Amino acid sequence: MAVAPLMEFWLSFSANRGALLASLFFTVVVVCALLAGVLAPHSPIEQYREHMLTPPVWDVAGNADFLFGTDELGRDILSRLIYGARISLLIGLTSVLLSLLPGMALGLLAAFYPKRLGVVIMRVMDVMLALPSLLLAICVITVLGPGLINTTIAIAIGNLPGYTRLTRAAALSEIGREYVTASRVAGASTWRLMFNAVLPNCMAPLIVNATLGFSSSVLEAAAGSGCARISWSGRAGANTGVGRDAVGRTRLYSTRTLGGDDSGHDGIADCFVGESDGRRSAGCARSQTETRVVRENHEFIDDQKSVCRIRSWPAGISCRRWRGSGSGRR
Amino acid sequence: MGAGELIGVAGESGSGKSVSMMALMGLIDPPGKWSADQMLFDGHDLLNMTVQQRRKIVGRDVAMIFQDASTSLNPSYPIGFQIREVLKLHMNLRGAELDRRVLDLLEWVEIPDAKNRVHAYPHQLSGGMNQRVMIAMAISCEPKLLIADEPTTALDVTIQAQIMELLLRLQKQRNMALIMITHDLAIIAEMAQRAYVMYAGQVVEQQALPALFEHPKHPYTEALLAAIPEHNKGARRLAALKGIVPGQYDRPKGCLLAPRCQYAQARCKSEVPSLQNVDAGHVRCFYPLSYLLSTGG
Amino acid sequence: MSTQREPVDPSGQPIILQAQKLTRHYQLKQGLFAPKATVKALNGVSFSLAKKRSLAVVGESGCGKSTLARQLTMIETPTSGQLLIGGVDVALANRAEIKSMRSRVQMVFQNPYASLNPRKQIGATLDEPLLINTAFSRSERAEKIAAIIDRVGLRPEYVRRYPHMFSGGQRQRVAIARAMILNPQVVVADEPVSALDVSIQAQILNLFMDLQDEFDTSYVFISHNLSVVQHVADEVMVMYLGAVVEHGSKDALFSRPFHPYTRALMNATPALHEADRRIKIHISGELPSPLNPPSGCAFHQRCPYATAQCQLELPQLRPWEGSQVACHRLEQISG
Repeated sequence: MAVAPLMEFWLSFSANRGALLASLFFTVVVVCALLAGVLAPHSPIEQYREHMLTPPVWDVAGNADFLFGTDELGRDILSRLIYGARISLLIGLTSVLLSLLPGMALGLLAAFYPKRLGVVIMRVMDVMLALPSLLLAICVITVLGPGLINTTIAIAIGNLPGYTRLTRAAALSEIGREYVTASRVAGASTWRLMFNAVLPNCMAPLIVNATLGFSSSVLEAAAGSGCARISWSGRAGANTGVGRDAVGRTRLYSTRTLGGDDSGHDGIADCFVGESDGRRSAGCARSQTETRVVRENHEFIDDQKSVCRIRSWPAGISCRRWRGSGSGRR
Repeated sequence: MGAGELIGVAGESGSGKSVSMMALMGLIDPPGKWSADQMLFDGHDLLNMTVQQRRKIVGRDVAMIFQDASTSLNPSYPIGFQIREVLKLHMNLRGAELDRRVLDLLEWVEIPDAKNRVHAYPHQLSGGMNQRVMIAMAISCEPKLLIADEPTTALDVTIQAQIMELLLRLQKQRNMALIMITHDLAIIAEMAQRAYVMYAGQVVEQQALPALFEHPKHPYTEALLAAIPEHNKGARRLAALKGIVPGQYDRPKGCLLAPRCQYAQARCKSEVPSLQNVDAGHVRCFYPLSYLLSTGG
Repeated sequence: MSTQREPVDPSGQPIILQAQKLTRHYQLKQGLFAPKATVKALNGVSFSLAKKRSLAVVGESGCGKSTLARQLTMIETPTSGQLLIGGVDVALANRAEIKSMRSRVQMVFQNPYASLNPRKQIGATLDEPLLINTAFSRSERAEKIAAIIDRVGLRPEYVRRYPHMFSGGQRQRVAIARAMILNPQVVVADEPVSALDVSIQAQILNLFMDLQDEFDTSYVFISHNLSVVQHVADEVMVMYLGAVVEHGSKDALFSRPFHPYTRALMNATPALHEADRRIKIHISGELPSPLNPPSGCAFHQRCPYATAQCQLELPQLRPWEGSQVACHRLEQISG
């Protein structure tokens, strides 16, 4: 039966409905990521102030322009989802590739040179495994500095020993097989044996682990970008809320404006609470381009003449009505 | 087959010899299905019974040993423990009597130093030893029928001779019926009284030995014999049957051997032959070889 | 020792391969405090192989035949002894010479399901020896591959298929094609037909014979199946626990085996016809462990003719009625 291997794979894969469904979902995500510019009805960061907190289209008050509704700042949720796929996939792929490729190389070297090089490599991996992954990530971030890319690198370093061990184990069992001996009899050099003969046959457990690592690294990166837990705060009806943006940063949304020395300005306060330079801080954006970093616990007067304070723990903006006028401290 | 009879089942891989015995034992798991026109064992009609009843009878009176003993034994338990398990389950023995019986069995199958070997693990014993342990487990419940599925294929020639001798002795002393499945025709020639030859899932010939190999009636049996190097002494090339056994998807219409058979006629390619009585045996062929053909060539 | 570049055998054929007292011991660690154990896999095997001759190596598992195969194909270096290929000592050869020797000695493995890389198309598997050892262009290599595929009886479109699409016999044909594609002088075949059915066995053995006729290849044919050996071999070498116990021409060995182990092997092999069956010599016990070989003759614990001398002294191969036999008791037991 001469069926091409791709066809053979498809036949057995498509017999499993769960697998088909999962692959369909994944295809949707990838298409969103690739064609976000085409697919998304709106820009993900444009704020439609007339349509804030619109419910989804199937609700009575829904609007056909915004299929999934809008958030507190009037941004289309559907577009943000579609664009967000890019970042999720990017994080997943980068961190997996950053740990898989060196891991494969080290594992192969350890398997082919078991007496000296292999011992050194595996003991280094053992040391890395002995450190708790969170501590390891913090060490790396301290050295490299915070940020999304550095977080990805830290995650990759944490996953490296796993891939190395896996590759070494698989390679060790393949090295004893007859087809490898056959290649040696044909005169293959060690490098050829490593990458041409053995590696393709070790891929199965690596692929399984890589797919698992993909999803867990997205979650780890979100957490590692360093945000505190946020809760609702402020008085009822204060139009203040919290949420996570597409890269997992916690954003504090408020319709309050920053008053004070720039009185008269009415901008939407788009504030975030997070880690910056290792310190907790809060920042408020006057507009999309300007961010003013406000110190923690700093007070300001909003347009409704309340005194507001940005807290970082528990994070939020709390306001109290202030009788009379006045300006807040800077 | 009758009590105490030794029959052989010969065939190559894909002939269905192992599968048919597993079906007899009820070891075919879904999605496999099996059916039979008749299944009588020791006076019991196995077809008209529930699965549990059948399992009780078959489990007690029919035993099976397999090809590679090292993988058929549980590698995590010592051999004494495994034999004890079987005895406890089926024969309800306990305590000192149980231990004595285990030692008896091991000595019966000629394992040297049985008292110490009882605590050994399968990986510490050689292939031949493990096969003897398998045989001990199989005969521990005094079965009426022992099915041996290629028991010596994985063993060296001298060990193979020892195991064959052991099986023959067991069979004679306990009047135990033995079905010997193998692809090695010489083993069947030396051991069996009657043999079935299978091809692509069907029995193609059944005869008593030595007539089966001296005057084969089916072209496949003849071809099998002709391919053995023993039969071709002096010739530079062996008489080989061209082509390969049909698989699941390329079964020919008519006789399954027709594409490879040198005697195939038009009828063979369109009609499926059934098993017919010929002399004291059966043949599945429209034109069975007569005495003249098989010796004249 | 001959100093000729190309020695010849008594019949005038050039000697392609020569092994002199090949020995291979493996060191086993036995834990931190126990002394290192030595597995004496191969002990002083010598033979020479001439052009277009087939030498069969017979023995049971543990006798060292696979170790011998690894020494001959230069996968491992022997602990002691010499291997001469085309008159050149492998241990003294430089890199270029070793490369050339490697293409002159090729191997066919036992398990057709394991000796082909499951992730490579067989065209790529066949391409590998050419790519490594020759300087042919891509089209020239493709031509050679097509030619050898056809020669072993497979269809040309099979080059794009993967091993799991083939039956055992077909895979073994591919393995033979891979061994023959460099046109080697010696092919070491390690139990090439043991895993195959009888009718396929016959096809593959015929293929071996045809290739030998066409390419003048010599074979080192390792097998435990005596009837296969009887068909294929010119000379037979019987091994037990790493040493040669008997070495003679096929006809001599099969008509009159001398060593007790050879006789036991012959008698233990079941025979199809009544007339060929011999009285079984009862050999008890099993092969001793190569970690702890018996003193003196390795076979003495199982030999029905053993005496005290057999336990003390290791017998050497000596000429006996046309063959070489290693036994102290030949004078008493033969005849």
